Amino acid sequence: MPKQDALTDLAITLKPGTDAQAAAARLRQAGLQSVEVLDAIGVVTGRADAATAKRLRGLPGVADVASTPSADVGPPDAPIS
Amino acid sequence: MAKKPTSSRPSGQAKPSSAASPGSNASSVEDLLLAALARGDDSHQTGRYLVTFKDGALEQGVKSLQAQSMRTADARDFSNQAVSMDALADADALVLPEIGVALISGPAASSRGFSLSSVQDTDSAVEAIEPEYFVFAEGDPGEYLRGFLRAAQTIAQDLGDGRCDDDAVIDPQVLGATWGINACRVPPSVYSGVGIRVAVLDTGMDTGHPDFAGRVIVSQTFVGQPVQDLHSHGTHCIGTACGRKAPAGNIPRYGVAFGAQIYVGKVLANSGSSVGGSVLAGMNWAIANKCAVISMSLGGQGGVQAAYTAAGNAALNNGCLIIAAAGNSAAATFAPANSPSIMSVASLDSTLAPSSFSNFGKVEIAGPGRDVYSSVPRPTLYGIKSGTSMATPHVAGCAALWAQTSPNMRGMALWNRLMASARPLPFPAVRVGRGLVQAP
Repeated sequence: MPKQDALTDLAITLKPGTDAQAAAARLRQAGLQSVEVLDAIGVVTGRADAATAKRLRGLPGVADVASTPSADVGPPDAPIS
Repeated sequence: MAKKPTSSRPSGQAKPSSAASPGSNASSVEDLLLAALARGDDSHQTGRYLVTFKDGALEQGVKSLQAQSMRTADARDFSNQAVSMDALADADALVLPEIGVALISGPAASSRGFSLSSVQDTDSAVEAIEPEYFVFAEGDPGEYLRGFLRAAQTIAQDLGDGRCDDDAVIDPQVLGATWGINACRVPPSVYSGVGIRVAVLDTGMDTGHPDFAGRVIVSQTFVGQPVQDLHSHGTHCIGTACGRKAPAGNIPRYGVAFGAQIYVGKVLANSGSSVGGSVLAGMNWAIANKCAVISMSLGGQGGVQAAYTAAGNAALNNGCLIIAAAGNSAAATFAPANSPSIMSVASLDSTLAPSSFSNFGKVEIAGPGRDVYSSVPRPTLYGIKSGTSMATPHVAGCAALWAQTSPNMRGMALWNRLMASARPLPFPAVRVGRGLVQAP
């Protein structure tokens, strides 16, 4: 049995004016998991392997597919934060 | 050298006149102050008005003013746009094209029954109309007005001449406030941020901190942990942006918008790190809740992220403004501050020089970020932190004060006003942007 690729947290940015719910349905159908629709900013987040992520880029209404950006402010005692 | 308006401008432009009436655009600061004293006005308004035009609508707005028989002068008619106010003669309106603003004289406003709401309702070119305020050095402006009157009277008696030098430096330290609060000229501001929603997306908040008792606090977690801040970063940032006006005991004032509604979005876990799409989810929540100001003292290395840019655009289109820390690696600005639709904040030391750690490049504005005193979770209550994370809530707090000045002061209009009102600093724009953020 082939080894399954690791899932990555993805942020799918939609083109302006795209119906986010309809786009989310298409993304889910294409294999995106743990789908969350962020209507107010036109972004859908979810998890997928690399092959699926590549496929999502070609779906209607999709402007960009990228790893979810991370942020960090360091530990509580960091001298600069 | 400045020159007077030429005849190259369209009809309706100003013609020279021999004397300036009180409140006119050619009035000196002394004339305006004396007129304010004469009318017993404690509002600190000059009697003139500032009209902010919508992006790209400057020429349309100028034509609209001229259609109301206003004589206009244009900064572009002066060498290097260095306007000489006493050369404005009888201009009813001075157009400042670089910032999309026109200064309307008091007589022009009153003689035409200048109605702020009616102009705004009917003129699609106008973003906001607000009174112009005197800008004072730190201290009680009312006392400055009274002091000015006393000085003017004394000089007039001694010399038989009512004029006096307005170059006197009135710069007393406001006792009981942090250096950052003073540098941003927060204590003299008449605004508190009341009615303005300020979202702080961070490690949460100690919602039981005594300095926030009685405040309207709305909170939401996006990291699977309670909102309660077990890190301290979030409570510190919220303290700077929204802390109380007069903390108990000998604690100095450390907060800007003490009347604002606080929206706490916990997008960073107690370890200080984001979880999955928690930051984007928090931005979505803040915009959906119409938070006029969204403060993000966080970031990460990397290029411009499309999702952050989309969020910034969505914010501006919904009357919100996202303000983010440039980062602390003495390197190129981090995401999300590097997105063009998000305002990037650099850090200053108390000398008003850029902090050595502060990132550079895409920087819009700067705020106090070194040795910032603010709230931290119980039982410690107060602490000092440094970073662009600390500079950002100074800008966010001032943004809330500006937002209170007009319901139209939102989104891009708020962005433009923060930039236009910043105190210029003698450092490259890539280090400090337009300069030090200032309260209205």
